[in-house]
Amino acid sequence: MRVPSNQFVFQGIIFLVLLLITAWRLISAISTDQPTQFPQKPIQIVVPYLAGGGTDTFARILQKSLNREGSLGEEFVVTNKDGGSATIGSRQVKDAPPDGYQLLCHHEGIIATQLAGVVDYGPEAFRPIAQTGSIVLLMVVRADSEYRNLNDLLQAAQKNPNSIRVGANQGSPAYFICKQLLGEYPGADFNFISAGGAKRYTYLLGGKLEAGIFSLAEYVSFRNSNDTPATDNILAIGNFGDKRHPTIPEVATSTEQNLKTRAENAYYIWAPKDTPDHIADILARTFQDTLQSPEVNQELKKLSIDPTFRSGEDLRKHLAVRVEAFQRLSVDAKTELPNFPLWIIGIVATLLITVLVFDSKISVASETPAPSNKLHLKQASILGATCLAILIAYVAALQFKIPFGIATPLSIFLMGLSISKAKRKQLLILGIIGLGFSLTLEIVFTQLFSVALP
Amino acid sequence: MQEALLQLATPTGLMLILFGTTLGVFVGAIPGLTGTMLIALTLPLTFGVDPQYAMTLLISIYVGAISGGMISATLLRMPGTPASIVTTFDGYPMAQNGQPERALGLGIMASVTGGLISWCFLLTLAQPIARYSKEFGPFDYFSLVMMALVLIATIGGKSILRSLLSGFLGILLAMPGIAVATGETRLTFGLTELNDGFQLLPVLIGMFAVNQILRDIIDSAKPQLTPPIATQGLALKISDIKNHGLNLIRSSLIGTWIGILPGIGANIGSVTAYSVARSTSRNPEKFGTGCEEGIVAAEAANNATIGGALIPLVAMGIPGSVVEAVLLGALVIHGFQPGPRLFEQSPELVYTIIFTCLFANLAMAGIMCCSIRTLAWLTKIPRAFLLPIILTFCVVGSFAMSNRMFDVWVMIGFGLLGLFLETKKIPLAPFVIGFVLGPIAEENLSAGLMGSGGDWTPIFTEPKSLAFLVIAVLLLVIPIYRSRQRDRRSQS
Repeated sequence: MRVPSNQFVFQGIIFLVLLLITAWRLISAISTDQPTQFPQKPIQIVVPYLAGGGTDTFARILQKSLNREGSLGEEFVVTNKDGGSATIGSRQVKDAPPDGYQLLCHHEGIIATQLAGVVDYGPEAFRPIAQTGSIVLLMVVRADSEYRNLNDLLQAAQKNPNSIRVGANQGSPAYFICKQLLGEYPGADFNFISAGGAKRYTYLLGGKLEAGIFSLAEYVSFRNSNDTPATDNILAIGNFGDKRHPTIPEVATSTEQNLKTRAENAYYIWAPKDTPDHIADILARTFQDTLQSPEVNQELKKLSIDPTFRSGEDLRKHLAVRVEAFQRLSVDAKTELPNFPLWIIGIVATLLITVLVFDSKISVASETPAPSNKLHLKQASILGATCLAILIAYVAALQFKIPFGIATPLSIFLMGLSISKAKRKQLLILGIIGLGFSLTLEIVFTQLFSVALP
Repeated sequence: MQEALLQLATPTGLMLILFGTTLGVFVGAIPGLTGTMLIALTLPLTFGVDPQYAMTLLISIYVGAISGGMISATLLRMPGTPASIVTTFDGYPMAQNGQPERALGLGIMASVTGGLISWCFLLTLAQPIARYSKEFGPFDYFSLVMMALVLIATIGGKSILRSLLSGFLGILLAMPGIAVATGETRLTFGLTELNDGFQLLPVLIGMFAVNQILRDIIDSAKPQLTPPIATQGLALKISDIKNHGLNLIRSSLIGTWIGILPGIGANIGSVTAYSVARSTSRNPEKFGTGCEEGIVAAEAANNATIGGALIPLVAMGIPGSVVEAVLLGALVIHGFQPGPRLFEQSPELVYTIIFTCLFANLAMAGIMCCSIRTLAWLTKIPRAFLLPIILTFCVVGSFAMSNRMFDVWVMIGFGLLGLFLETKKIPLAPFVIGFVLGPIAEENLSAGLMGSGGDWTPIFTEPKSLAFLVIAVLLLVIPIYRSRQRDRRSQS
């Protein structure tokens, strides 16, 4: 019998240690899976926009304070699921188990996307937990604009329909406000141009837009000091809120300008529809406490968000009013845009045919393998296919909720095995790499970055 | 300004720069992990930190990651970050020709130069230049993007037709999801996951990392081609600076300028600089075979975009690239209001950002020079160990960006697509550029058409738009004209 070398023993020990740690982590993960009282694990707040956007900033301010006070004994984690006009994130929470561990932080865009036909669900598909802040919306023009108030702007839109270019994405809350305004001046119409956030601001200054709707926070951050030339500055000509706002007391409300249009936007916390009452109550209370803390108030003040709070029946009524306000308006596309996908498919098809007809020489001329290499090539292809199959099996395993800690070392091990042609010397090292790597990844992502792994 | 410098000169400040840059370089060197992702993941860690230190850390990571990408691009032909796609064109062949140290050395030199030149612009021109870019209208953006698309067709690959096909295929695959202009979903075939389209990160990881790994696995039956890194440093000479001086400066300027334009990041900067270098070179046929000029142009430009892209960020609060968008978010989270008034309200923060950019570039040069052999170690470990690990990174990276398994499947799908396209000799770079630029072009064209009531003529009547189109045509025509001339000469 051969005496195993020192190196072999060493590697064996490391392997065993890693195996034990993995097993321990897995077992402890399973054994703590007995919920008794809410909450038992961190609560996810899903933000349907990119990190850094308005909604994200808001959610993170709440998160910071929720975790500082720690009244629930569990952490709140903000997860960004942006895209699809915020419907990727909202759909996830809608379809999540109604156990209170996944919440959505979203504003009234949730009503707008339904009415614009992006998705077939709106607020009714959720259980609203709380309204946690309201945003003032303003109509803004370039500071040297001839339109000094909302009526100027609407009269111009009535006299020359479509001459006034307004930045608003179709189906966005801003778009709905404009439709509401236009309803008050029969025959008036804006020319809507898609432009979000900062772009709306540049277009406005560059004379590419006559007006745009901004939140107070955006307005405050974009506005220059009063001594900048008027062509380089912006001016709010109407506040759609109930009353003038202390940050900009000089801007008159739409009501003062004899218009009926009133609008605001607000941040809400949503839970899946069938979330039980006692969990919803706990959450609503927690958010209310946080919203009243001085730190949150101070942070929100910086962002010009008012810490309005509503929950329960009060909130349901408020939402019903808001949905109705949106429903009275309709979305219609005006400028016929070319059918871009069709164009591109056409171009790709044309190019493909051209390449096939005129340019096929290159692929024919490509090196045909020498006969001696053929066997080798076949082996290599089998190897490639094997590894691809392992990769697909690995991803499928993760998809079907097989723990990361089992699937990852196994797939690394198997793949390494097939690449190294099962050399015995490398078996242990592969095992160590597999276990060690999956442990490190798991710790780095879940502990350090607080990002969920598959 | 002095305050900012004083704070950066403290041990904590310097440590953060060093730590951030090192982290960025290493993560950037690992294919499948990008700077964007690292910064997005680091952001939550900085919540409790002093905002100036937080920005210092994030920007150091940014500089490091953009630079680190060239290591795996050169040694493994896997761009560690999207910004170094172009570096693979010449860096990899050069390393395969037995000169990996020189390829990396040139890359580092170019990176530092690009970073420093763009930094000078950041310091002096932040405000005036941002004021100019503010005047861009939608049609101007559209033409600019068209210019970039034409540019990409003239580089990489042997056939312009195939490059164009690849580019438009990229645009096509960027189409599913929600249309920017109308908000309608299209081409999703009933898959709700596709409402968001194909995400850039999984597409990139698939096309470049997974494709390459599968290729490597197939090749692993053959003897390994990994170029050994010899001990004798970076094989640079003083005369290199002289020889490449013009190229360095030109590429850095292009990178800076492109960085300033919102929405277009380091990828386009390096592509543009590369193709300009090629069309003005005396030996354009050498590009793509391990040409020094190619490496220099690509690396100088992609680092220069950092400084460039920071200009609109600090001066106007408008992100110049994807990473900048995350940085913008960081500013907001730390209670600043990005925008034209940032300069007046928090000058110390603005100057912290500006000077971090300088120090991080210097630190990057030092770290890369000292650790190039450690980094090249990545290529020396047996493939049986390395490849499964990178594949796992790819899976985790695709997943972690937005926490869904769908993205992982997308990654695998695009990996296979990339493998297929390459066997058919269709270059991948135009595909990716088309994929990135398609939506930008569509958004701006839509906005322009909405403004003009469906009228296309402003594309040719707006002076800036016209200028971009003219440049595009010239850049397309000049290489063809030159190669014709050369053919004629060789015949006579």
